[in-house]
Amino acid sequence: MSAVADTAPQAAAKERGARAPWAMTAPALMLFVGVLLIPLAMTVLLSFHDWGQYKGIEPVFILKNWHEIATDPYYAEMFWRTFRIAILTTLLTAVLGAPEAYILNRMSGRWKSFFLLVILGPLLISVVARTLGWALLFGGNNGLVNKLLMSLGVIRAPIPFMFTETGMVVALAHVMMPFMVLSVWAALQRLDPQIENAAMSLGAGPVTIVRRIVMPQIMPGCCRARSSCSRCRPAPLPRPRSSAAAGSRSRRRSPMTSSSTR
Amino acid sequence: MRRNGPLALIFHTIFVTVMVAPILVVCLVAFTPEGHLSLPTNGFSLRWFRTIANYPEFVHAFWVSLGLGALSSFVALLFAVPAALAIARYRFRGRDALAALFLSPLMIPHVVLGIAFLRFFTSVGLSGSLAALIIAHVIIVFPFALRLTLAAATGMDLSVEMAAVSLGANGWTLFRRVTLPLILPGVISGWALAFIQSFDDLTMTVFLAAPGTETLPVRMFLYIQDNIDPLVTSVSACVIAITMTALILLDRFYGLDRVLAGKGDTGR
Repeated sequence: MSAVADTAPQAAAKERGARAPWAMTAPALMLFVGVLLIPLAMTVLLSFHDWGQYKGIEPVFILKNWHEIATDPYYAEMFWRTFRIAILTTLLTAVLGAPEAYILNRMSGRWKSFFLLVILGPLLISVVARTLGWALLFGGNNGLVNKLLMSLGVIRAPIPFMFTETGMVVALAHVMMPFMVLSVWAALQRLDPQIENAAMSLGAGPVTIVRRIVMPQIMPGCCRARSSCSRCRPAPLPRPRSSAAAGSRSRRRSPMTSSSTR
Repeated sequence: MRRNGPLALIFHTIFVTVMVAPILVVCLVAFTPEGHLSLPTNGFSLRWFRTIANYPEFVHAFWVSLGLGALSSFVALLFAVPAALAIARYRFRGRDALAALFLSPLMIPHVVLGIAFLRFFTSVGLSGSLAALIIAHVIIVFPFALRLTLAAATGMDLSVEMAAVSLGANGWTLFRRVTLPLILPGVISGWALAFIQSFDDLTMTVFLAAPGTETLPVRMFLYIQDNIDPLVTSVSACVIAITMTALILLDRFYGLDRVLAGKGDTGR
């Protein structure tokens, strides 16, 4: 290397910099390859094996299982039901969660953090306990929810909630709601309130402001929440965005990655 | 302008009520003096909390859950902290792919993970053992540990480390005395969130747990399948109380919105 005196240490540091991240991630990488990727690959392989009641699993390569999934209406119905419930749950979550996030965002500091704790809290409370709660609320034809709705005159006959898709959608929406509120709320945080003020000063009413100003800006947040909702899985935590300082520093290191902020 | 109208407040009240209702009803029913599921209409009673003591399998499952959560979160952090530091500081080939791999347990349905782990641990002869449970839980809580450590490491001021290096600190000393204390809030929050996730996981654990290594959610789930009586509500109430305590501590310590949204690293 014919490096000038003052760039030589930089080159050395760069070389070290190329190896260091791999050394630091190696343990985790080995763990993931060994205990996550291999088991998943084994499961995929298993799907091509044969199975019989008396012979057990036979390590042959056949497409019988895949063919069965593709043709048996039993599985088609199950897939469709899962899909339908996910869509309905997501819609319900969006319709109720987005306005709530908006209301939450307009509250003053103390109330905001209190209600945020109340709404996000269920996220971390045992799913078994939460579902048991819904079972108690729905419980048969004279569950608490039905009693309440009937006494309010909303419905005449009790709605069967338990063991029905209605009940599942309601309970799933409850489980997923914090994600939606969180995502929309995070999107609202980045919104400049002055834009709303400007719209109002130009004569826009509250409905117009929400429809033309707020909605377009928070849509990415809604969509992100929606994608994590329809996965029907606790997958919270949108990607951390690098802070301005660290971002610019790393950008200096490698200009190619500067556009990868999403 | 920045205020909520009465309609908005009514909506908000109903919304919060619905969010809290299932949790509240479980806690209320737990205090029933009756022998069946009912809201305590004539006085509160602790009889169902005392009944828990007669079911040693619940108590045992609780300790399994507690130990499993604490240990797997700790092990996950041992792997996650160096990985997070590498991902936060270096731009290297395969960095995004690595990050995606490390966060992938969030995206894979836990049922699939459960089946995969069951098959894997059976073939290596670990099925039903506590070791298998711990390894599996390390994988599923890893993203949470990584995420929060990453957020803390990304926001860290590197000049502090440079100053330490210029003063002669190196390797381990640098990490122990400078880096770790700076990212500690993120690490502890990561541990807490990972612990809660491990403590709560049912879908994946139900595939791996054997008699003797059943976690509390698994034990509760199996019990509910047979019969629902106020006992499960009192156990649930205990779990809720523990989680709420952890939650409030986490909120005080680090801020719940930051823990969940990774918001803390945007504004600094």
